[in-house]
Amino acid sequence: MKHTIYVEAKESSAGLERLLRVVRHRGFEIKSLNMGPSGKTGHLNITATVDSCRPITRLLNPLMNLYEVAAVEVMQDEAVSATG
Amino acid sequence: MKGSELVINALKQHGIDTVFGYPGGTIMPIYDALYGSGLKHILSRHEQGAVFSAIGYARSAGKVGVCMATSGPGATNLITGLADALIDSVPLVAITGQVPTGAMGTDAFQEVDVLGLSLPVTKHSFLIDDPSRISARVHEAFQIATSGRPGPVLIDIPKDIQMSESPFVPVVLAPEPDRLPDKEGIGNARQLLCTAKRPVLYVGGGVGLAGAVEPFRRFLEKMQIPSVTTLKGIGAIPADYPYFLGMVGMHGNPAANKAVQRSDLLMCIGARFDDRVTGNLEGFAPDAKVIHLDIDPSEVGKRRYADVGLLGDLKMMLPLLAQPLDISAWQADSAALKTEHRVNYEHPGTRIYAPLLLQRLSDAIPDDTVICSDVGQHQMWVAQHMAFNRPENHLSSSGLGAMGFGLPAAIGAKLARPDACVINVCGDGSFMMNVQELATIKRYHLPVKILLLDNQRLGMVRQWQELFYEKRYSETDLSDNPDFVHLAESFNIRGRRISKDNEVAPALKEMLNAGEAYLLHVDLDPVENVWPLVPPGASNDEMMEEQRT
Repeated sequence: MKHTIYVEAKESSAGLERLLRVVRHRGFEIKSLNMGPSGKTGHLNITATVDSCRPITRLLNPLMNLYEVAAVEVMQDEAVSATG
Repeated sequence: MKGSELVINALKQHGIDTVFGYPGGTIMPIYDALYGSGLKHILSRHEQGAVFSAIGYARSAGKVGVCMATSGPGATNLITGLADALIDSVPLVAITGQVPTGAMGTDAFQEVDVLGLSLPVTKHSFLIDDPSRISARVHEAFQIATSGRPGPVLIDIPKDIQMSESPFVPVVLAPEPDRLPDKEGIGNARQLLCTAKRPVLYVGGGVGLAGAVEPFRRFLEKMQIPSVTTLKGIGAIPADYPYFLGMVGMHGNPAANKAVQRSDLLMCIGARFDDRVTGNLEGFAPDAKVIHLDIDPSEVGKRRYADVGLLGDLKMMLPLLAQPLDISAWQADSAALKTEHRVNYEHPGTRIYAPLLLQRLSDAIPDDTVICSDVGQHQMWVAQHMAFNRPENHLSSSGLGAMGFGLPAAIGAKLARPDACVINVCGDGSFMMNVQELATIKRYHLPVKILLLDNQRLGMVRQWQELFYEKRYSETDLSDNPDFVHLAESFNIRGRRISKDNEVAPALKEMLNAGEAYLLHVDLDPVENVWPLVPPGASNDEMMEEQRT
């Protein structure tokens, strides 16, 4: 099943790599990816479409555990979201 | 102040007095700052030894472990230890030297992308590219390593950054705010508890990590619920608790597995439904509702749906859940299960039977003893046949299952708790994986005891080959092992070899009374297996037990 997720993260040298690694390791495949500066200084907005047969919660919580990640949200009607 | 001096200052500010490591080219400025700094540095003989010692230090004393290594091979040799610390949630700070910033990305001598390598094996990692950020980064590393679910943090520092001058800017250390318990979730959990007929507590390493052993025991005292533990949870439940049924899972006690399978409510406290615990997940505790308490949201619901998930500090949550329960029939059933599955230590012949030896060792050691096991059959025998009353007294590479863990971990434990008796229980395969650390024991005159259970095999793999691979013993014969007693002697470590059961009691006494390092080499029958066993892929209902003729 495909999900589009939005991630707000602090800028750091390996932040995107770390995020992509978690996506792969937790069993999700990236179908599209966009990244750009957010309104907050030193923060990035990342939007990704991911595909997996696994429930999306398997990805959301590990992403939220990343030190750089400030918020994660699923941009769908039946959205499951986590914010911190 | 130089960057390297800022590193040492920041370590001191966090109360660090002992670090483990091995010097090399790109970390020389930090080693130079270390010289005469007052920090105690333990020179391990391999970086993997250093990181496992730091883990043993951290786990046995509830502190943060610190290790150091140079770039390239020094850093790659840390990786196994970082992975161990991540999966077993050990607070650890690893500092690596890196080639100078101008040389990075040029395939320079001893250059490896350490930040890249660290991503899957750390809770977080930093590459410092500005000396003015060193103090803040070290402080962040400690905060990340110790907050929430603990874990390893790596700081990679290029050599030129270590040598650069930067003003010392003190960092104010602020504690993290506590996450308050979810009132509705607590209410729901209390409701489930008071309506359950057959509740079981499934207790993991999180209890010890949270510093929640005492509140947990008060909770246990009030609830009197039959309880089981994971490998890492061993020691949280008092060994004499009447409803303690032992370890659950693949090599668990049948009483523990049967109670979990029959339960109608499983209260998981700081554990993670690991595959070695659950066996076939579909068949695990099939009739049980689940209350899952953890600090890490990613564990709740990861492998088993939680009817109630409670996130936060166990010290705050457990007192809110304590209430007397009316489960006397289930308590009686559990006590009967415990009696029914009491271990039979009778063993034919004159050879040494490892379970009985470990049970005797357990009876003989003082309360303040740390047992550091390696990985394999002996690890499971320790878990099954020794009694522990504190989680920090049983150290084992639980999640990663890294052979070679025990000896360096014992070194770390002895340095953290010099008054404790520290024993490395190892197999012949595991011992050889970090045998170079005998030199560390010699150098620092550490009275670490080594109980080497030698079956001249990679015993657990051999056991699986016997049971599941048609006795095709591929590459598990270690009968060309060295003479371990002579090997120890070459490091000034006294030792003795025994092979008969009647030698066990005097040999254990000699080992425990030795005021110095000691190696007791025990010959075992290579065909002994660890029982019981849940075969791979099977449910915990399908335990194989020893068939004695």
